[in-house]
Amino acid sequence: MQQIIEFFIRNKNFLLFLALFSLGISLTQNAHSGLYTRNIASTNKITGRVFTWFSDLQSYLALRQQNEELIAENAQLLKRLNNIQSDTLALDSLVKTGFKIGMASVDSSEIDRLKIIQAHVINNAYHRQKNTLTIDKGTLDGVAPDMGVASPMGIVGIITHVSEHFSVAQSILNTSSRIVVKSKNSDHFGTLIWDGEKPDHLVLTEIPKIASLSIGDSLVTDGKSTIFPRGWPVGTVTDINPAKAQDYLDVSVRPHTDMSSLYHVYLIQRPEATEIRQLEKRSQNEL
Amino acid sequence: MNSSAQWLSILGRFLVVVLIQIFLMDRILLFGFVNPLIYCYFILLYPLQGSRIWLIITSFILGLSIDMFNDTGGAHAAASVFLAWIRPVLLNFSFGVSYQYNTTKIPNAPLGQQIIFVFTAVILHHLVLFSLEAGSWTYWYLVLKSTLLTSLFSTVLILSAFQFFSRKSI
Repeated sequence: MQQIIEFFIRNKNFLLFLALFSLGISLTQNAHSGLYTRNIASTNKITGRVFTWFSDLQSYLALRQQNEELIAENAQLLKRLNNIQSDTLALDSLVKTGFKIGMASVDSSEIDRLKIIQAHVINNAYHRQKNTLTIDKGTLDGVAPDMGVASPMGIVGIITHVSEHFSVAQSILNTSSRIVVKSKNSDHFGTLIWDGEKPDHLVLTEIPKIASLSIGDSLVTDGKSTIFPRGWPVGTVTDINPAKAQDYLDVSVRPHTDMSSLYHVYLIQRPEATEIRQLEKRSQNEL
Repeated sequence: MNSSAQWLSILGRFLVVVLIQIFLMDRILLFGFVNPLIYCYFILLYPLQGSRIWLIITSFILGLSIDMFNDTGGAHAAASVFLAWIRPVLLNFSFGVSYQYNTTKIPNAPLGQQIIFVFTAVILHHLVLFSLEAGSWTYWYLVLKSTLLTSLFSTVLILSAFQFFSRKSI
């Protein structure tokens, strides 16, 4: 017994190191698998407040740039309005076929049904492998996990964790991010991933060769995932290579959104998402 | 120095290092991905005659504070604890046994020894940190790249902090 106690006293430094080191590793593993302890995420009260304070200061200093972005968005909306007014006749058929009107090619009746919350990014990482965004709206504002996050230009991420006043989203710059997208001109779809290298470079995989993509094509969301509506803008094709697997392509994509400068975002929820998910789950259970 | 003054100076250094890391260093991204980590300064300059147990515990809390602001779970905490535990080995390796008799002050030691000490410490810390953050060896090439480049910048920053902010006389 005495020997055991002596062993502990002699090795107390190493044992303490081992205990705290494994605690650190297990916290990291939890963070990766998404089982956050709420205290160690930036949805936490203290860190949330500190970040809000700092981002208020930053947004004040960046008002000029924000203004310019809003003016650009306004101009785009005005153009869209003009198109609608001058082109009412052609509009009907366009909406029905779900083609492009102004910025987004989303079916406009679907836009009306979407639940959209305006929010701000208060912490944005884009240099790590598993990047996340902290957003200043939480359950009290109606935010729920699996809502889509989009900037005025295109998709940005998916909400994963929510607290009362804040939420955390998995950025599209996260090596675990998988988003189904398709070419704007055809219905061939693939999975959009990030290879962890550059914030302006995404990779579209699992897209068949017959999709006949060409450089400069626009990519939009597919709508199969129930998170983003069909036709939300994603990015443009910058390079196309044959993939290792035969009959597939590896496509480089530049996102429309500058991921290193994010402030105004929209949180999007499809009203029918829960119904679709429940139905699909039920059918899986029964099969 | 009496012990309560020493504790106060340790606490002050802790807060300053965390604030500089979060509000200054975490906003810097050289070449798009190099994010210098200056908070190792605290672990490296922890009083040489201080207790090892407390060094390990405060390093854990230091790492965890950085983790909270970065959403990295416990990667910084684990890396900091590792650095705190291995520090005596590195001290011995870079300054020889003389540091044990309390005759050396790190900022007063020859520059070559300082560079060896800081660089080996920082590179070990960053290697543990980035490996944990990546979560798998799929991205080993990126882990090594960011470890090497980030270590260079962290080392330069920490060494300059030694020159500017340490009282050499005491």
